[in-house]
Amino acid sequence: MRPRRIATGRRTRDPNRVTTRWNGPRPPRSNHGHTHTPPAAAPRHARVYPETAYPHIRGNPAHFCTGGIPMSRSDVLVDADWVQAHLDDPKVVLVEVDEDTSAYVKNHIRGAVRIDWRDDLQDPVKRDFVDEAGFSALLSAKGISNDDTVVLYGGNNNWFASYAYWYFKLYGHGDVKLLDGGRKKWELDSRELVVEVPERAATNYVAKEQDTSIRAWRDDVLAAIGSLNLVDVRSPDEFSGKLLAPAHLPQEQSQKAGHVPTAKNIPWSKAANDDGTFKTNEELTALYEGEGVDLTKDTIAYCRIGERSAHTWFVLHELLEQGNVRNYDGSWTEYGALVGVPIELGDGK
Amino acid sequence: MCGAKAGGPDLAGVDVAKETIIQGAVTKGGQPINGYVRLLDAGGDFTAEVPTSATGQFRFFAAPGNWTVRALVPGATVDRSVVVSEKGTVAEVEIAV
Repeated sequence: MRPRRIATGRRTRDPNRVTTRWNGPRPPRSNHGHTHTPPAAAPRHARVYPETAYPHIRGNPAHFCTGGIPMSRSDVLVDADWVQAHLDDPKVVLVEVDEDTSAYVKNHIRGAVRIDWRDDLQDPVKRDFVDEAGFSALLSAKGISNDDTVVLYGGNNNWFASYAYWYFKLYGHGDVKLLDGGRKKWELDSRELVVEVPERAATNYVAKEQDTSIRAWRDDVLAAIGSLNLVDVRSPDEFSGKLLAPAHLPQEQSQKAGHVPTAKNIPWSKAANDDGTFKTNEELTALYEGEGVDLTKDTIAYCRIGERSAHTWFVLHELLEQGNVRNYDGSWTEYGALVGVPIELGDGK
Repeated sequence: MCGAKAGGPDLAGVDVAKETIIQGAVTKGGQPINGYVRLLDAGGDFTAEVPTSATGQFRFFAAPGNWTVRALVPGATVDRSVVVSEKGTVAEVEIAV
């Protein structure tokens, strides 16, 4: 039987929450008029997975092995040993997602397919995601089925793999996990990488309607100033306004420098070890509570383009099982370019 | 790699005057080595990380100030302090692990 999560009682969704709305333009969204809609699915800890839904799990002892990761995390996070043991499992699909999309061409974990975070996941014209039909077509072409276990990994300490994870959740994929430590940990362990690109037969993937309860828009961020948790996960120098982008990118950028007023600066990197693996739940809870984040309130995480904040969204929503955590994918490249919105400089302390 | 010049990657195409560059190469026994290099700010906080190129090279676009460059390769971690005085300069850092 599939290991099930134990209800922790920490996930809270307040049906009486009142949000004030910004009167600025709002892009159309599928659940228009609802500012806070719980997902259609029950919280994960309450879900029951019938054995028939995952026939590949039955009778395969390897599926019960979660390596060094405690069972409560194993629904969402697997370690390198787990991946190694499932390299030939036909129902487990490895997907590499990198900022540097040429990394996959150089080499990748055997059997992994590539998703390009820009070319595959973004609308080719306007700034937005590919739509439901586009996501269905993408996963069909990649040979991924609705009932496959998708394991995402990538460079940059899983920034873009976390982004893709959030994206898979946005479109309702059932079983998706991250490889703890991503590509870096795999490399530092000196594990096998290959250049051969696998051939996977096309499928007929059907994406669900976007779960907008995990996505924040710019007016949500403005409404959250001074009331909800705003977590700016960029580096301290980007938060204060000294830098405009992470330092592996040129600093000449069009947006203003600084951060959203009342945001707390808790860099994504504080949630990870040097090798890219996530810290323990105890360490993570201490981190956010120690920085003054009231975990009983709604939280919006943002960074520059929404990939590092997807990493923090993963920590808060998936590892710590907090309810009402949204990722603001517009992030600083949108907010820092808006006319007239408040911006704060300095370290915020 | 045979024929690679010493130091960080080639600056052709980079507007050096508008950037504050920290770059270099990671070597082991005089040979380039593949791994990762991360940039830590004056407070020791992570600012960026890049994989080294096939020739062991790396580059960051930073700002004037005190930085630490940390090389992560299989089995070793090596730190180097870097002080960059002004914008428009290129700080070269060679790291032997």
